[in-house]
Amino acid sequence: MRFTIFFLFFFLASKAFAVEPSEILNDTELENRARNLSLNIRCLVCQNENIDSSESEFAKDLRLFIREQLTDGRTDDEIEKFLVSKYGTYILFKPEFRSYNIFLYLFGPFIFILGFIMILFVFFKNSKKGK
Amino acid sequence: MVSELGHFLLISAFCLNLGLIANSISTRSVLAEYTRFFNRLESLLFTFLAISFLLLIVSFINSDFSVKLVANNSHALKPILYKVAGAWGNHEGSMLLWVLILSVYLFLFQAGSSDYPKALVRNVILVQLSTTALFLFYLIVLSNPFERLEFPPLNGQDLNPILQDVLLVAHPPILYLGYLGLSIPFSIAVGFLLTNDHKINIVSLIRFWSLVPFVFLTLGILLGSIWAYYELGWGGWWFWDPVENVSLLPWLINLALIHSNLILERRNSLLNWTILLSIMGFSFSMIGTFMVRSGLITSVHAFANDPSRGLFILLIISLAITSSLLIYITKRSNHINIMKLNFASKELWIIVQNLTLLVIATIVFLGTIWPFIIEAIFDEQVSVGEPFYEVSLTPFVVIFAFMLPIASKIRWKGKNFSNIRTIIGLFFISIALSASVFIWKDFKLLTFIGLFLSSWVCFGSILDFTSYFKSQLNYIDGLKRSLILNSRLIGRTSAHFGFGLLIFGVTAVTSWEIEDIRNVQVGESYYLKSYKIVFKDIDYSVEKNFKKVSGSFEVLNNNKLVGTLLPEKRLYPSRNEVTTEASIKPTLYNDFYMVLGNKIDENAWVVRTYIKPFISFIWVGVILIALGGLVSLLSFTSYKKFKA
Repeated sequence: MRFTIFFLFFFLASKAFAVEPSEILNDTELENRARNLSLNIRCLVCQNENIDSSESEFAKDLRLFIREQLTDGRTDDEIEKFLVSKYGTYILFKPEFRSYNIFLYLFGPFIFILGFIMILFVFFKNSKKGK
Repeated sequence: MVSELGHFLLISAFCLNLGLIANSISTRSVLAEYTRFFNRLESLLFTFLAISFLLLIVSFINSDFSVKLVANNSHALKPILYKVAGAWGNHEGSMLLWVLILSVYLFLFQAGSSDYPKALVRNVILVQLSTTALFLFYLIVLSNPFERLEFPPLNGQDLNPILQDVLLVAHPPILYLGYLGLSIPFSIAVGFLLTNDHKINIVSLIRFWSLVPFVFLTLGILLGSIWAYYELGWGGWWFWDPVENVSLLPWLINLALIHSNLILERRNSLLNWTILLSIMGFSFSMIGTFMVRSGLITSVHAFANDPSRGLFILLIISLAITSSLLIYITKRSNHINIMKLNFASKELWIIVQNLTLLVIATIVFLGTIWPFIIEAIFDEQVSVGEPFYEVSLTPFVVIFAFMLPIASKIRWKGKNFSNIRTIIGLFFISIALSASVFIWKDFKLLTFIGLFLSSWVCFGSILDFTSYFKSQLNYIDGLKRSLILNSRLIGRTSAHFGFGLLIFGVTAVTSWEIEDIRNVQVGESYYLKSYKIVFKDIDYSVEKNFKKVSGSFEVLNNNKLVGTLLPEKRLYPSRNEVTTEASIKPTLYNDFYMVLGNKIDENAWVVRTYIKPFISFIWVGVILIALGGLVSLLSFTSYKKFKA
């Protein structure tokens, strides 16, 4: 009995497990950059996870790829650009600030400023009337 | 037989519902004298649905696999608790619960409405009944929980292992009590517009029925967050998952409603805005449901993704929302009571607070639907996730938190900042307090802002409390009486203080969390900060409906035992799924959080250890926010009389 459970776990656990000790770089600064980058990169075969916490093989490959690139001296930007050119914009959790995405970033602040101006407008109109 | 009876009651409830709608339209002229009789029938609607729901639970307990829903979501060997909770751990059952709670609120509203004008009450009930009818129709036609199978299987397919948790019992019902509680402000708003008598005062009605869902929604979201914390992975408590986002939207709108209603109460202004917020709150509840149930989004909550159903829910919801908005546009009050605002008046600050909440909700909503918009228009795929929300929401949350102590300290119709000295004093004390933390830690700007805001909000709410409480001291005779008389002040303080604690918890966890990933041998030990962690043992065992392997770790501080951690991996043979069960040892300041990873060899395992500082402040903060709403409700025990 014990053996079968043991075997089952060994078999089922063969899928990768988030960041593994063997993946971690010795250079802490590079490793931190890798972790930060990973938070923004979507695991394309998972539901709604970044590659840092995903258990899939896909995520593992990308984690290793990022670390390889960082060790070769690429910048974060270059790596993200490369991933976008290969997998499309879907791979980034934080959409790039360009073309239609500008609307996504600026709509909230726009509403805030517009609303604020409207409130001030009513405020000045009424404070004059009050005099 | 049990499920046939349940099915029969469900259909009867629908017929009764239609009859009641016809009645509440016609009572205006003909059947007025029967109103009392029909009121009893409304409680009958609730009774039918309640029994129907109980019968569904009975089918689950009996493991009646001839019922399709039971066969798909239960298993004979499952513990009784999950058999019961399994009744709402799926699409059809949870929709029945949804309709049942709608009728519960209808019943409660009616029971407490005797002080209000008959015409208003009748219209509110009409709106609530119509909403219930739409969802009942959907339930019976497209997601019937009592559907039978021609060839029942010997055993069920079992419930998704991730859902097999004690919180499945509490999280969905409490969350639904929140979502659907918002249907009452919605019905009040639309009913009020239909009554077309703008002299009726709906302030206390809105106040009561926006605070009730506020409490439940806050607790429901909290339970979901705690659940995600220990079940879903690496100790995150908020993932900006679409499902979490859509639960946040009605919460934010309802919070704005509670505050704008204060202006309606004090200054008799912003009536239209308050009505619009009431309509928007429940609209977002429904939109959230649509997005979760239609299969548009993928997450653990997507237990029912059937696009054809999604289309029908979309139709129902558009019908409800557009018709209520049309009623708003045509019937809203044209007489606008313009207040005189001063920079130092509370009402101006609350209006800006409302604006900020609305902007936060807009960003969350736009971020959630952005991928669908882009796919529809440009046929491209984008993702919007945590890093986006962090960047775009932080400035507005900072503005929101910064305004809070000032807004609660200044007076209604205030002409000047009479309390400016206290506010400036508070400002510098908070700066000094948060700066002093960096004697021990590395300086980070966001950490500093977070610490400043938490101190600013926490101490600000205490100052607010003491200054008001002094002027009301003469009221104090007996704890119960003073609690009720000051319930609004105490409630407000609790909620605002809780928000400050929440900011502190979030800041601490995001800034100072420690993570460690390594291979550990049985018997080996390692250090994290000053804590020594020893891998004692690994153990294999068989439980009722799963098999598990569990590690045993001891956490020591200066050779004193802090606690034992028992992370597990479980295998559910019925679904052939493996889940990881994190082990958490909460202490006053730190949570020790451990996950067991892969097996390396006979004796070595990958182990992830986290030390999460002050995460309990997040839970306590949110509990205080909910408690604040609850205490505020006490005020209705003293002056629930309707003021015309």
